[in-house]
Amino acid sequence: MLPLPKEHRQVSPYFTFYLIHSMQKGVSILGFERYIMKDAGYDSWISIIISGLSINLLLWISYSILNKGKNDIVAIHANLFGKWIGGVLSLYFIVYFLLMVTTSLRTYIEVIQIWMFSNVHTWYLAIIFLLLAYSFTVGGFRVITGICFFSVIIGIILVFLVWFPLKEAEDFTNILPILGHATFKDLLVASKTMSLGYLGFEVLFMYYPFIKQPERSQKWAHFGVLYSIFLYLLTAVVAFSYYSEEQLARTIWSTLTLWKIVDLPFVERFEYAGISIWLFIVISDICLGLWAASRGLKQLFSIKQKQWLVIIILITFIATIQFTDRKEVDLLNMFTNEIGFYTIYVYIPILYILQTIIYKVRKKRYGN
Amino acid sequence: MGIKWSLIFILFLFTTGCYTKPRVLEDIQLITAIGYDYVSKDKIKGIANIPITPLAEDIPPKNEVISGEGHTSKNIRQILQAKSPRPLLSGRTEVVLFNKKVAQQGVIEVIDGLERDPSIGRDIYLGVVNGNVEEMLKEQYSVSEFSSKYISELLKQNMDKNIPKTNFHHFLYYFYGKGMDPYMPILQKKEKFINIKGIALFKEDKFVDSISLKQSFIMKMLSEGFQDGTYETKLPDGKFVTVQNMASKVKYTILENNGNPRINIYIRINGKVNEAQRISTIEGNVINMIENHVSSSLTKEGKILLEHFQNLQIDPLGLGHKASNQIRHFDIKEWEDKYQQIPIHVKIRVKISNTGIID
Repeated sequence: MLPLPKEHRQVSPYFTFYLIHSMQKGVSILGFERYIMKDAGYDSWISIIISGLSINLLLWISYSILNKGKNDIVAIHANLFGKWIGGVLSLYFIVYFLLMVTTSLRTYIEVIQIWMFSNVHTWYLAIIFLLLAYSFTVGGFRVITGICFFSVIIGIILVFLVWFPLKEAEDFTNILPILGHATFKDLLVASKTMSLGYLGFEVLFMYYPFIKQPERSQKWAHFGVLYSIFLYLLTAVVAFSYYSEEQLARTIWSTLTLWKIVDLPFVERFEYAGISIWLFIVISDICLGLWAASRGLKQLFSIKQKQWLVIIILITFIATIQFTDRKEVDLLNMFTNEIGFYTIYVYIPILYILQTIIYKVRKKRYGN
Repeated sequence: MGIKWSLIFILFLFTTGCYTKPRVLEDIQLITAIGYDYVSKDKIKGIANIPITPLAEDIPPKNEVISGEGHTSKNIRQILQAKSPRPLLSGRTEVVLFNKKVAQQGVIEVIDGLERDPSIGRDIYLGVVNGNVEEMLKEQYSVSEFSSKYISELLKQNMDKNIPKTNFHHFLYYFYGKGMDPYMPILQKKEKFINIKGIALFKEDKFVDSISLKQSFIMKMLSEGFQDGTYETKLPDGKFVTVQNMASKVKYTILENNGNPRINIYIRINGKVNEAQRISTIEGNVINMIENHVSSSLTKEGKILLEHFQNLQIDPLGLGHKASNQIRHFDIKEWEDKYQQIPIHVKIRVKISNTGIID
């Protein structure tokens, strides 16, 4: 059994709300509308709810696993499958976390390159952001929780910003007739696409032991997901009444383009301010992802977490600069979506079933 | 450790100079309006309105334009740049104007360029110019320091009162949306002023027909609810009366019966009498009479306008789009085939709630 973190490194249960939500709301909210629109048209807002509710179910399953295992995923894997198989599975999770970090970082850099500074090299921005992320992550889990807290608070801006597109919105009846645009199958396909927006809650598998009385944090985690559903739904419904169908299909970052209509007396073009503010939200994703990966590696191999952090930052950096154009970044997002989808929808339930069986068998054998 | 990190930090401070160039306001030239004039079949003339604000306080700002001919809008941009002493930036563009002939040939090429450019806002105004765009932008108007500012303010306040609301985003929405066609206001320069002449109707990206300012008001009433604007009408006894709209609401009901669609437009106007020559508004049913008369003449004009749209096979009110939101299993192809024959019923109810501070 791997040792649990000491109390002075833990955070209160209600912080789970911020941790879960901030990891879910990343760069994907800047342009998810057009992808779900492709699958299910104006009905795809239903998919946001379907997808979000299924995530709540998966979150419940995750808590069942963790409450039984009483430690992080590395310890649970080692306990269930032994040192080698468990180690390989844990390594998969670590690679997956890094993939998420790379996707967030590269997509955000792309946004900056296209919207603000078209001649900045990827490596240049990657170094700056990763150094920033390093300086936060090295402070430990509590510092990252603080970053996540701020990212959620800053993200509230999004709620207020919808006022401007709503004022200009063309037609609020666009989403009508309900279920008149898509079949049930289309909705499921769109729900799968939408799951990218909710990816990130599975980092819980790493920071679970860092929460005081973790069983009590479950309700906050569910609130976090519900808040994500609310934000996605709000943005999508506003975008659907603001854009016509083909117009939305052409717009790569629909939420960002929505901000083009924001008309504040002190700033002419809000989207530039918006992109810069978004750094807070992206950096919290990157920090939490890097922390989870380095923590996992520390649990697996006996090297200090700080040294692992440097190594994985180098790996992330090299991975990030491999993607050079829009097509490749799009492909990276698709790939992460696919991997993430199977990880949470297939692997987590299987893990739950295996854990239940193994615990029952052990109970019988040893009589507890 | 501390020294190592601060060294790295300093290193970064140095490298920042290599990348994004700082843009100081004094060293750049902002474009505030862009215009396109017709030259020949495959050539257009681009005009950029560049306001010159002198650094000294006592010199008045100058309204200047630069122009150049080319085949594509981005190529023109290069030609314009070649004439400007400072780099041209389009982030503050407020208006984009097309000469009537350019609009007739299609505007999609320019629109696409604007849509792709992250520095162009979505709340800028588009317009068709009756006459020469360069002349319009060049003029030093006495009512406003820059022509771009004049035009954008003119359009902004008239869209509250007289003409249907439209801007760049709205144009794109109508252009890409199914079952709707975009429109732009028409402007004309007359001596020292710019007039709004009406609305230019587009079919896809091509200017096909225009309606007058009075008809634009009817179109505004049909397309959106609003709070302002006045309507003048002649009573049966030859006297004129002017009614001011205080609040209007429009509601579309589109029904389908055995594949035969039917459109009902119901408009409610709450207004007040602005001007009534030699009519005592206190007398028994005079108000009632004015209400009935205004509503019947508005209905008549609304019908004429809708028939006009149907004859041209264009849909600037987005009826097809509205139908798709109200009818299940809607087929846009079928709708477009039937569009010219669809019966449209207009019902307008006018309620006059006051007559000003006198009877």
